Amino acid sequence: MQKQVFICGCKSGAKISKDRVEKWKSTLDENKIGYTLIEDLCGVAVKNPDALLVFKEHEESILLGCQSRAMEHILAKAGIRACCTNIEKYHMDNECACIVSDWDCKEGKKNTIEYNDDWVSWYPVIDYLRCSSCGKCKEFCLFSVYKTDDFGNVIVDKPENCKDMCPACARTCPEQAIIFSKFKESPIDGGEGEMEVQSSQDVIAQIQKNEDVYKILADRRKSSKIPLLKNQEKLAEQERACCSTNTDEKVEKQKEEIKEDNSDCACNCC
Amino acid sequence: MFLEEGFKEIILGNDVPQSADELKKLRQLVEEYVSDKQLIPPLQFDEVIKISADFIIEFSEYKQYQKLIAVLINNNVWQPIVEKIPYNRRILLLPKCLRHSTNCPAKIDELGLLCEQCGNCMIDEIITSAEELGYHSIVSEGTGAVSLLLSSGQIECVIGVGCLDSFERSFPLSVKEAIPSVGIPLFNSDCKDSSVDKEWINEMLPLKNSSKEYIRINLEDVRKEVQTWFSTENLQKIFGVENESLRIANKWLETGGKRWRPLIMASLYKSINVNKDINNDSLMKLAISIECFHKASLVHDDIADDDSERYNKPALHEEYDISIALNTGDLLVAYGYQLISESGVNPEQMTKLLAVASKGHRDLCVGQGQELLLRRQPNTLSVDETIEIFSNKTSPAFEVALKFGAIAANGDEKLLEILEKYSAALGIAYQIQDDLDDFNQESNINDINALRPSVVLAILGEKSPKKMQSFVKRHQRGDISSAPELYLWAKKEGAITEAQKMLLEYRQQALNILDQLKDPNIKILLYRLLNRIIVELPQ
Repeated sequence: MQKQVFICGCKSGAKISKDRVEKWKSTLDENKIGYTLIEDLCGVAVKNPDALLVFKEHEESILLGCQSRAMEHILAKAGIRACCTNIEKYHMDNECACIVSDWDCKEGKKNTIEYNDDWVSWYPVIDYLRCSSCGKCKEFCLFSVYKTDDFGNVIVDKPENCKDMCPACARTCPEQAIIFSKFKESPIDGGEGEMEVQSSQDVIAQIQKNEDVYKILADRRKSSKIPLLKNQEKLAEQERACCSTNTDEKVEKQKEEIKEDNSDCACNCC
Repeated sequence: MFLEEGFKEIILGNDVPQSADELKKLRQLVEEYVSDKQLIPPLQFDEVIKISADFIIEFSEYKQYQKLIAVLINNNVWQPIVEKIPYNRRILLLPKCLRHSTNCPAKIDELGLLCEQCGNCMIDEIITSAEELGYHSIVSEGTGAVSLLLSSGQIECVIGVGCLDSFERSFPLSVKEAIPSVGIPLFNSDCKDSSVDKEWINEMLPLKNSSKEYIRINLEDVRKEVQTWFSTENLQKIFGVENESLRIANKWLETGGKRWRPLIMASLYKSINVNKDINNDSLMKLAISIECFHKASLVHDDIADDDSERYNKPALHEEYDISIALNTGDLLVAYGYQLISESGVNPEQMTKLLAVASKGHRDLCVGQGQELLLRRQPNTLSVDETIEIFSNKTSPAFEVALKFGAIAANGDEKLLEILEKYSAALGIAYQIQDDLDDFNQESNINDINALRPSVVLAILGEKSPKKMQSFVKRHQRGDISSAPELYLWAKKEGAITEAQKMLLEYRQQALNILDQLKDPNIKILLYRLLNRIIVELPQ
């Protein structure tokens, strides 16, 4: 069975670099593989979902794009479900171009599914294998992106309302079910793996346990990577300034002392 | 929340002037406008909106800024209080969207951004100046973590930067907890590369007034203090242990219960008596006396209602017998009056305390009497009659506790009058809430007692008297299947929703009465107590 190749151009975003897309296109050309360029899968899925019905015309397809979980749920949003057609998905950043030589693909014709909208197509999709319909995202979002449908499922109702670059609702999701395909970090971009929480992981739990909020905040601040307050920073800047000018005798003297203490001082002041 | 519902119908001007100068001009105008109104915080949502509407009528050229004006009004009302709060109890909340949208290297934890001070945006500069003063700062992503913080009940003061949308969302929370707060709006609300009037923040952060006339009562601390009053040793010291009857009464006083009444009394006393000497002995004795009256009524109630359990243990008449339980109840009434007499207050206060205690007793017995007499006849009560019983049975509990606190702290007549009305509305709201809890817990469905006064049942009875009659008869025959059916009927008929509406109305009534208060310490405390006693229903 020959497969139809699709490739996403990520036109309105930067999840996949334009260079990378071009490179894959030329690889396909070199191997005489016909393909359909979807200029912006995210955008087309919302603005012109019917154009994606073309997937249903092929029993098996290959889709080159970003995270496979992201693409799966973007397609599902447009009505293309894994059950009706078999689509192998590849991440353009993670695969070596050599894989195409293993593909049994249709030759020839190239097609384009255009995307010419100004909208940057930044919006969430829900992974319903994870979603528990708890509604936290809906509660959290200020812009009515989400709604609950008649069956009690939380759905992405108004993707265009979503604010560019804001992935905040995804962080509040207890099931990590929300995907922003254009976000730079996994798993919010649809990648596997756990949400990265940097520090004070249990801050929320502590607050819920009614522990002293002020102490929790102070501890969080203490454990933060940047302990320097501005006044200390200013001090450091002054010291550096002292080091690089020769006007003050005192400084000269200090310099002498430093020299004696540490002959291979790294600050270039000596 | 009900206030928001009403609000959504009106579309308010949602703009923010785009320059610091214009913003400052508007701020000054609002400040002047508000200054002679003598507004006492906290203001309710509707109140703020109304004042902003009045402002717009006078200055129609600012119509498109109405939401902002509402924020500014609220700021002005809170600012004098905010100034009196130490820096290290203030929290600066910044929105994450102030950061550089592409170059920000910071990581995010559960509460928000952990700034790395890269200098690409103004966050670093703002939090540094705030933290140097002693502020705690949070750069939050959305309103989730903020809501959690605000509802923790521990936050004492917030300086919040955000878009008008986010203020709208967090306003109800800060009102509920009566948190002194100032909102500084962003110039834009795109949630990306936002900007804010830095000068305004710099002006706001250092404001300070070292007067000590504002204190925020730490309710958790008061609760702990109250607990110590009910220790075995303390009760023994006060009441003695020389015979078994005293020991039974002491034990009963010591076990179980949330100590709401002593907590209410003590916290009100402390909020009136700011910076004055507190007579701890007097406070303790009066607080225990209220609990004595309460516990006495519980023993007698359990006998009258034939309830075999209290605090998940056998009720007193089950542990001993009815006669001993009756006697213990009577002894606790004696304890109560004994403590009033030993409280060391002046004769005038003493007279008032006795009047309040005896009136509370009387109302309670009248209410209980109405309920008991009801059982002799098969008619269900009307909504009005039910409310009257609630008012008699539950309101005195709050009224006595609050008035004891006020009298002991030498509060004036006007305050006592306000407390009386507040308690009346609060007591009814509390009882409706209790009613609804019974209906909302699946496990209780089989226990729904068609003879007990209940607003839900009264609403049903008024709608379909005959159907209700038949339920009452079935219940009297001991037909257990009647209870779940009644539950379904109440749901279908919308009686539960109606009762919820009534609950909110009485809650609102209690809040409205507080508008007459001139002392922010007392007003803030009573807002917070209301919020704790009437837990908002899940929508």
